[in-house]
Amino acid sequence: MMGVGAKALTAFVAGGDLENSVFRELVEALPVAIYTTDAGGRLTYFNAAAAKLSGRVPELGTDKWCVTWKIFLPDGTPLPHDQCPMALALKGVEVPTGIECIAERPDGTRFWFTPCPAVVRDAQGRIIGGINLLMDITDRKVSEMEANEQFRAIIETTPECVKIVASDGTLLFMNPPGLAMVGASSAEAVTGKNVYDIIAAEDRERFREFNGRICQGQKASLQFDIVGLTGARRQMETHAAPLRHLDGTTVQLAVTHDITERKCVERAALLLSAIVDSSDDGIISKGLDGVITSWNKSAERMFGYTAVEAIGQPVAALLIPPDRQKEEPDILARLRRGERVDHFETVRRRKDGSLVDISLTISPVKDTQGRIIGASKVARDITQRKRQEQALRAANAALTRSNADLQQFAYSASHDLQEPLRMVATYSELLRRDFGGQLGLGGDEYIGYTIEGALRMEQLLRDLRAYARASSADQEPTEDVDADDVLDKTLVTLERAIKDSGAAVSRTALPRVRIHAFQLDQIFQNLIGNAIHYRSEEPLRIYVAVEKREKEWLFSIRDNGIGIDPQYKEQIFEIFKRLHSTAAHPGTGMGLAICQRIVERAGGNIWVESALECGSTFFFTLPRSEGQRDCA
Amino acid sequence: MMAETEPFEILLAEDSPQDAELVRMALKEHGVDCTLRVIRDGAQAIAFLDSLDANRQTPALNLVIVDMNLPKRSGEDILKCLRSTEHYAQTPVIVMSGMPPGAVEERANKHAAMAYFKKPFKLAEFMQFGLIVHNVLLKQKRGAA
Repeated sequence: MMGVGAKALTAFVAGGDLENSVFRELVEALPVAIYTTDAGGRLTYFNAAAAKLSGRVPELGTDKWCVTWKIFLPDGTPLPHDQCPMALALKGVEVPTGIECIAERPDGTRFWFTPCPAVVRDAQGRIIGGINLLMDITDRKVSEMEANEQFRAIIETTPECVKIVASDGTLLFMNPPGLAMVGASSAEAVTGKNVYDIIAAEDRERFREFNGRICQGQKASLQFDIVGLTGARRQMETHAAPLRHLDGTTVQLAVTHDITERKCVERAALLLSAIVDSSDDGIISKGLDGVITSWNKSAERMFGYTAVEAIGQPVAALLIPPDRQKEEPDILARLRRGERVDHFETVRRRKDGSLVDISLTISPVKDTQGRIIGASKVARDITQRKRQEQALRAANAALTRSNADLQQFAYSASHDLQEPLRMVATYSELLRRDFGGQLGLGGDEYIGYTIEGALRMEQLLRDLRAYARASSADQEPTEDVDADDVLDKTLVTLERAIKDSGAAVSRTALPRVRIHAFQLDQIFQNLIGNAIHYRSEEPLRIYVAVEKREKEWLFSIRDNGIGIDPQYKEQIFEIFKRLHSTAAHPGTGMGLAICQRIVERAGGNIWVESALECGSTFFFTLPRSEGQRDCA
Repeated sequence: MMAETEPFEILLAEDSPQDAELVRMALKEHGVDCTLRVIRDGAQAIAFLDSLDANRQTPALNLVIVDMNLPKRSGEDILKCLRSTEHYAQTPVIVMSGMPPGAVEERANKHAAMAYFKKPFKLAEFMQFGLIVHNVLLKQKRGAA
């Protein structure tokens, strides 16, 4: 303020020769608020711009220090007039330039300004007055504040974590979404603390190095895990840039995204695709237009096309043989209706033109709105199974044939062997009738043996036929028979034998069972017949009973006969097995084998419990059918 | 008992000479006075019946005994032929078989056989066949009278 200007200003402040001066008019016309005071701070002059800015007309000689009504610091603290920059300057204090203050007008409106106080001294250096310029910075401040406000809104609205980290790791700032991510209840819980503490241990060193690079001016991204204040581990992805502070330090400004869920989904998708690719089944997806959209490894193996070759092709053109083309429209129509196609067995064509038997399961695929957008197809190669089925059918047919052959053989055996045998028997008898007593020593006896042998063989043939019949795949019984009725009939058949042996037969009521009546009769005849044959010296008692079990009837035929040595209890059911000589107990050794065949064919079991000289109990089971009459 | 009349004419279709001999014995044992013509197979038996039926003098045939299991044509074929002849359709029939009664007997009944005889193993039982024949013939004679 020295030189010509300074002199004029000094004169101006000193108030000398102001009237009508050119300088005064100039100052008056300036758009900047200007006022002057005397050394005590009393206003000596103000221009129109000052009155306009302050919204009042100050009283010259009375108002002190300030032209304005009220003053505040930028943070809103009231600033007494005697401490305003002008007052301080007049007291000889060096006032820094660029101070920002807020002033309030009498009408309550406020404005921002920067004061530029200066003192005027006389030749001796004494302060004789002051001059102050008030720069209106309201417009700049408002736009600055608006920009700040926008920035704040962005930071608070973004779902990402926005944070500022100092080069030593101190957290300087973190927005609310960031606080939520780290599990902090308030900014105070984390700001000022070191962020390295919440980085997962294995990632901490990487993060420290990363922070260093950013604070040296690089931009970069990083994935790392944090362990939040609540102990929850989250996966993060951060994009960071250096931020230069006014004090010359550089800090990290980072936008960080919680990718835990995304990683989860990625992992699940990877897992799913690994499962799809490792499946033995061909897994294909297609759109509702029938065009293939995905193709797994097994589909590649099954059909010979790679994923690249298959995706984008219509299923019909690629896989369906000409004679089955009509299947695809049907399948697509069903899918559009939201129906599933289960285990549809069909034939598809491979890349090399060969055909493959497959079983298809096709399900509609829906989008999140529930609209059907395509289908997943699971194709199972059933060539092997088809081959096995065919082999099984062939084996079954062969078995049926050989069974039929066996039946035929049994029939032939029982008929064709029987006829010559009958000749032996009958003509031996004729020999005895017509030539008995004329054959010399032993002749009649030999004829007797011949007849006996022939008759015994006839019995064997008859039993063999019964056994073959019990084994053959005859038609299954279609209705239940009353076991009581069957036993009645059996007892009539055995009436003579029962009477001759003096046997006492007692019985409980018997149920209805699913078995051919003649076969049940055969069982009863054999078992009761055996009891009669193998009776002891004691009066014979036979007891026929039945017990209802969960799924079957347990029949028992108990006697007090000679019993069976337990070591033979399996053997007696074998064909032609006999425990006694023909002379002592005539029989073919086939009765129990026949019984076993019949019972097993009916779905039951037969066994014996016995001890020598303690009688025997033969048990056999027959399945109970649903809704069967109870005997109880 | 039937001596005052002509001997009965009996046709026996039986391939086994041993069984034919037993039948002859059984008839003799029960005093059946007859001429027994034995034919060894089904085709011959049918030819014989056809020629008999074609004969203008319609020779007598009082009884046909048929073994169901014969070479060339079966016993059943013989019965069908017999029942379709002009003059012998009403002739009584006895069916014999080595098999137990059952399916064979059913077929015999279908052709109105008077009796079914299962060839037995015991001589005495076989001899009972003579009695069966005797009774059938007796019944026929009464029916005719």
